Amino acid sequence: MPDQRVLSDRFKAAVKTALAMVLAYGVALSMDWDHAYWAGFSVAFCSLSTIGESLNKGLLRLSGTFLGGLGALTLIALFPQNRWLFLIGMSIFTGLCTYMMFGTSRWYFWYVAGFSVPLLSLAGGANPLNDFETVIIRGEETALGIVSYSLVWLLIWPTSTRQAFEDAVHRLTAACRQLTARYLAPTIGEAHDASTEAIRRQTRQVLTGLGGLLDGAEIDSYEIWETRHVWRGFIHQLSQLTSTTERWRQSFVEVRELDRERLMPELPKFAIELDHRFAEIERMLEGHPPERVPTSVPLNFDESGIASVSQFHQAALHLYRNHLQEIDKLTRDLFETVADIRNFTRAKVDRTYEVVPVLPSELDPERLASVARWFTGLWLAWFIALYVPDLPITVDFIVLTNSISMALCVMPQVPIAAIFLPSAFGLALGGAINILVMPHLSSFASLGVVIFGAVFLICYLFSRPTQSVLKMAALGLLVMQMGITNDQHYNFLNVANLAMDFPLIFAVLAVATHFPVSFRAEHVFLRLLGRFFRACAYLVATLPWDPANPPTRWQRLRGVLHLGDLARVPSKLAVWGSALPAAALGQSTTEQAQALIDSLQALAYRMQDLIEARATPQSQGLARELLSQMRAWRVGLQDIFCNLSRHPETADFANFRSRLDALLERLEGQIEKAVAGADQASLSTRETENSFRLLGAFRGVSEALVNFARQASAIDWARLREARF
Amino acid sequence: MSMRLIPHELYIGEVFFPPMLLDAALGLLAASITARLLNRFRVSRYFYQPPLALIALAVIYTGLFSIFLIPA
Repeated sequence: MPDQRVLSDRFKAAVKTALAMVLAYGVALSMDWDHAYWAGFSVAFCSLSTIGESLNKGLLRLSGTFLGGLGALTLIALFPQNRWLFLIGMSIFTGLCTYMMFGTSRWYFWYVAGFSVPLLSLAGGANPLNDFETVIIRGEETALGIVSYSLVWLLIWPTSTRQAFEDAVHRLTAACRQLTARYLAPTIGEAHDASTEAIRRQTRQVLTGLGGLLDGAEIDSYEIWETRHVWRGFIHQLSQLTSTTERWRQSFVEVRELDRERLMPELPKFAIELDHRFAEIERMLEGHPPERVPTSVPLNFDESGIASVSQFHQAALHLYRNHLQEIDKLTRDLFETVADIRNFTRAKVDRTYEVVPVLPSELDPERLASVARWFTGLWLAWFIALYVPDLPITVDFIVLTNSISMALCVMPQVPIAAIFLPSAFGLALGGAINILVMPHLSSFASLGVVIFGAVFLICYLFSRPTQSVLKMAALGLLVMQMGITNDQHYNFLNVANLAMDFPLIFAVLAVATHFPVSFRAEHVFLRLLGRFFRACAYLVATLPWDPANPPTRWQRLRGVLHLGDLARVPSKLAVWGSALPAAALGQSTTEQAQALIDSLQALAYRMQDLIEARATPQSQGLARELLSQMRAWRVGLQDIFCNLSRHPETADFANFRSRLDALLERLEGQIEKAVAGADQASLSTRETENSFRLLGAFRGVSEALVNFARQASAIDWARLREARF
Repeated sequence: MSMRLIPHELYIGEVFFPPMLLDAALGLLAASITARLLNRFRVSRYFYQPPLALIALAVIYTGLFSIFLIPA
């Protein structure tokens, strides 16, 4: 075997996939199983960079095939003679699978279950007796593919997922440590530092892939399997820490001018403690016992110092400290969790995860839109297959339309044209091999060389992680076009028919991309923007809810749905923002669009702060004094959000800035008066602190809105809204 | 029977293709080029539903080609 360092990962992965494909075909043909290419599919779609990830995906494929097979047989048994009821039943089952694909690292299970139903129902042909046999063969071939690539992955250049997972955890912990240190360093507190931005981006990327890596690491490492629940808790805590650190960063703007070290004398000590805590976490992750345990650093204000700053600065400081206290708690929890994972503690950590309500998180309008897109594609394909006479290979046409349509739901931002070209490449390569090369082959050895060469070429060309969908499309069509069986016969029509169906499949997908819900990047971008501001408007409207008079169940449900929008929409906007074409951007640039999305993310964090601050008990004295002013502020925010949900381009920076400055000036005087009127004992209560926090949160939302208006002025809204072909 | 009514096919490398296939391909190509030009000169904003107009353009071009360029 050549030196591992000589060969790139790209080369090794391509060789391993090609070898696994040859092995799968070899076994399937020697066992004389029908549909040998199904084993090839299993290899093509499940082979990933590490053994654990590949095995995990393979097992998901196998269990998905089992559920799909069960669904197909049940539907055939229920509606053997009624075409329409069968189609409706199948659409409900597949639609449910499509809907369930979102928001889970195990989406592939639902994907396979969804596309297997039409495949297995139709592949059996007219005789229902074949269906059971088809389902069994599909299961056998899928298992064979998984065994083939598992063997190859284990024996040749094995790459452990556990190692990849632990490396990612190390990187993420180190990035969190760096970020906290930079934010706490007195000289660096600005958000626009390029290296800090790079660390933040790295944190987001690593965190996104961590769940999938853990799924794989659980499979290939017994140690990870044993502690998998604690690891999941650890990822959840890391995610919370990242989000809290970002919210803390957003509060820097209001405290920028203040001497934080003077106002919070324990701050340098706290910074050192946090750094030590991260160092100990890293140390434990490397397998060494901790040298020290977390100590408590109270973040008290300097009384004389805090009295010397303005009321709004006090409010901002309360908010700032609140975030630091939250970070303190989260890092302490992280320490305990890692100690538990590495067995450095006897006390088991109580893993109390945040309870996520099932229903609202599932009710995402974008998911429904994706299901509508899939449904349109599938039914269009059904109608074409049923009513267009002499359409060739209708089964492949329906199955391929359904599979690609479901795959597009996972990555809706991928343009149809981007999938078309690799698929066409796979189709042409497979067709050429079938017509020009295979008739000249006389043994499996020579066929194996051809399979190896073609698969290697595709895997090598589409090797980047972002190209995984393209690789799968190309490999899938290659395998279909080659049509390898033991009883091999060559017919130009087989190749030509699939080639003829191919543009039709993409025409159907193109129609489904525009009707009934448009999935053009600019349309989705504007739709999401509207949803975000509608969510903000509703949530601001819920602020005066009286704890003594609880809202109705419907109001609560709407509130939770909008909170979900607030959390999800900015990350979706980031994805769609990067997919905006140059024509839609017009005079604005991708960086300006990104800055707009960042400002929305900041606004989302500020809204979360506001909602959390409002949920705490407030000082009745201050609330009475400031009631009318706060109400006017809230109603003003609500009006602005309502307006922005319809016309985001109307955000006027100068107008927002002057209105906010005037409001702050008015309120400053009023708060001073209220504080002067109140007795000093009542002012030091927790409720008063909460009220100051609430004031700071209100101001934070307003400042974020002003920042959004500034970024919005750089966007070419006319071009973004313009209708285009 | 008039010769005009006998269907004829395109013959490429021992494979027969219906003329409509070529007309449809050319129609799609012509519609795409037209759409690009309309986008380029920002005329597309005057259409209510450009994707629907693109399909209509493809059908019109295909029809025209099948009448005047490569009749069936």
